This record gives sequence, C-alpha cells and structure tokens, in this order.
Amino acid sequence: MRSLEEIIDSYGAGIARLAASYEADPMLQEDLTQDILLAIHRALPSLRAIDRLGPFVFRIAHNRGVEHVMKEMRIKRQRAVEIDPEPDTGGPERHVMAGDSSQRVHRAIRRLPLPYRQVITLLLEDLSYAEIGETLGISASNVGVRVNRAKAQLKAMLDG
Amino acid sequence: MDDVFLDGLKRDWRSDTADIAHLRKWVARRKARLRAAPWGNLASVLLMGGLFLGFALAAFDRRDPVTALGAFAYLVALVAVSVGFVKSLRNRFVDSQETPLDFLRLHRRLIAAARRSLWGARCAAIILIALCAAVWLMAAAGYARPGLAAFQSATWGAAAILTWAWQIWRRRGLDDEADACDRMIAACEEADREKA
Repeated sequence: MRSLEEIIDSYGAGIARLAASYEADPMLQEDLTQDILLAIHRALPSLRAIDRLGPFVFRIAHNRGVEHVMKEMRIKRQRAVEIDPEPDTGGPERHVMAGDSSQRVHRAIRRLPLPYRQVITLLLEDLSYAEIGETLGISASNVGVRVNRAKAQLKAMLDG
Repeated sequence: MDDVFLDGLKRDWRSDTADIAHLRKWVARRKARLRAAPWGNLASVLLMGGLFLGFALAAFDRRDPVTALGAFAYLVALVAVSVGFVKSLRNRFVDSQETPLDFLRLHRRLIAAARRSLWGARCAAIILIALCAAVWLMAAAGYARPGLAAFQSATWGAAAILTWAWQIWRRRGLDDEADACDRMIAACEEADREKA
C-alpha cells in the first residue's frame, strides 16, 4: 500500500496539471488539487492492485474535476470554469494566442469538450491507451477516436 | 508518442510543475480538518438535543405551553442537524471509483434527491410560521405574555423567512448543477457513440 505522501511525490504535479484542465483560477486550482488528493486518501483502502495506481489516481482526479465544475456552476463562478464551452464567434478553432506556450496549451485544453479533454490530459501524463480506457471506462479504440478528435481541435486552436 | 505535435504539446503541458512540499503541507492540514469535521456536526446534534430536552423538561415542569412550543422548535432543528450529520457521514463513504460517466449519472441522481429533499426545508418554514400563529393565539387566550409571544414569533418568523429563502437559493443552485451535469453526460454519451 502506498501512502498519500508517496502519491503526492509521484503524482502531485500531474494531478495539479489535471486540476488546471478543469479550473482556470490558480487559487481554485490549488483547492481542487487538494480535494483530489484527499479523495484519493479516502479511496486508497479500496485499491486492490498496486500496479493499477495510475488509472486509480487519475480516475479519482477526473471525477473530482467534474464534481468541481458542477459545484462551480452552482455558485455561479462560470467565468473560470469550462464545461463544454460553446464556440465564440471565431468557432471552436479560435486561436489561443495570449500568454506563453504552456499557458496557451492549458487554455486550449480547457476549451476542449469534456470527453476529449479527459483523454488528452491522460495521454499527456504518459498513460497508455489501455490505461486511459481503464481510467475512463471506455475501449482502447474509443480512446484512439477521442485522441484524434482532441488533437484536431487543439491543432486548430493552437496553430490556426 | 511518435507525433511531433503531441511531443510539443506534452513538453508545454509538463513544463507546468507543482510545488510538492507546499502541496504536502496543505494536504496534511486539510486531512486534520477533515478528521475534525464529523465531531463538529456531532456537537451541533448534541447541542440541539440538549436544548430540546431542556425546554421539554422545563415545559413539563412548569406546564408552560410557550416553552413547549420552544421545545418543538428545537426538535425541528434537531431533526435538521441530524440529517446533516448523517449525510456528512454518508458522503465520507461515497468515493470516486466509478467511471466518469457513471460518476456523472450518480451525481445527477444525488442532485435530484437533494432537490426533492428541499420539501423538508419548506415544511420546517411552514411549521415555524404555524408556531408564530400558535403563540399569538395563546397570548390572545391569556396563556402567554404578549412580550414573550412577540419575542418568540420574531425569532421563529425570521428563521422561517431565512429557511424559505435558503431553499429557493438552493433549488436554483441545484438546477444549475443539474444543467451542467446533463451537458457533461450528453457530451460523454455522444463521444461514446463516435466511430473512427
């Protein structure tokens, strides 16, 4: 059994990045990261196979991210939350020009529809298609479809 | 990853790193607060229970109907805080092991249940207003002093108004949450149906 401290050391940075894919406000990102880690702490006793820790951790992280989005909707802080953003007048492929490249990538990922955002963040955290499928409860082929759609939308946003 | 675009994306994505020492410190603090939270809820239950018992015994001892109404008001509050306590315990056992789509569907059911349970708040507000009316009727019949009736009805009336306003605010919030949940479920279901 891994301790929460070990999980923070191994996955803390990845979880923080994943939190940033749901929340734009840095303060709320930090709160969400802590919420995710506490949820992992509570769920750790139910982890059966230690070699499945990555999918376990990231599934909880995505579920908490989704829950965060719903809570934020409830308290009307929609300015910082991206659920399934409606395209603006420039369409979904609008450019994401402002800020440095890391910020641009984060902003573009936040603008992806939820299913695409989930697969691309897991892929960028080095999970295999099989692990992403396990995390999200979808087939590896469906992961491939979503990755391709996510890439196409990101390319349009970042390169266009 | 054998894709130039994804390689660049990954480089930018992973250049954002977290302060792990800071994270460890804050999570340790939150863990301590989390451990203390159920005790705070339990203290509220015990306080309301104690006030209810105190008022009930005093009402029985003095044969005072106004004090009995006070005991009844604390009984309503006791039920409300007890429900909150049980819900906080239940939430501790709802972990996040479902797939994201199942998690969303579960959350949608919980939102619907929370919306339905708001009838409890509406009942509490109506009961408090009924108590106000009752205490004035007793004052008119000479069973209670007008000063006491004014004080009690002002307290219960304010609580009733606040409770009614809260359930309206809560219902609107739950509707927004349900709307967000429905949109995310629809997006996930649509993505599930997509073919290469």
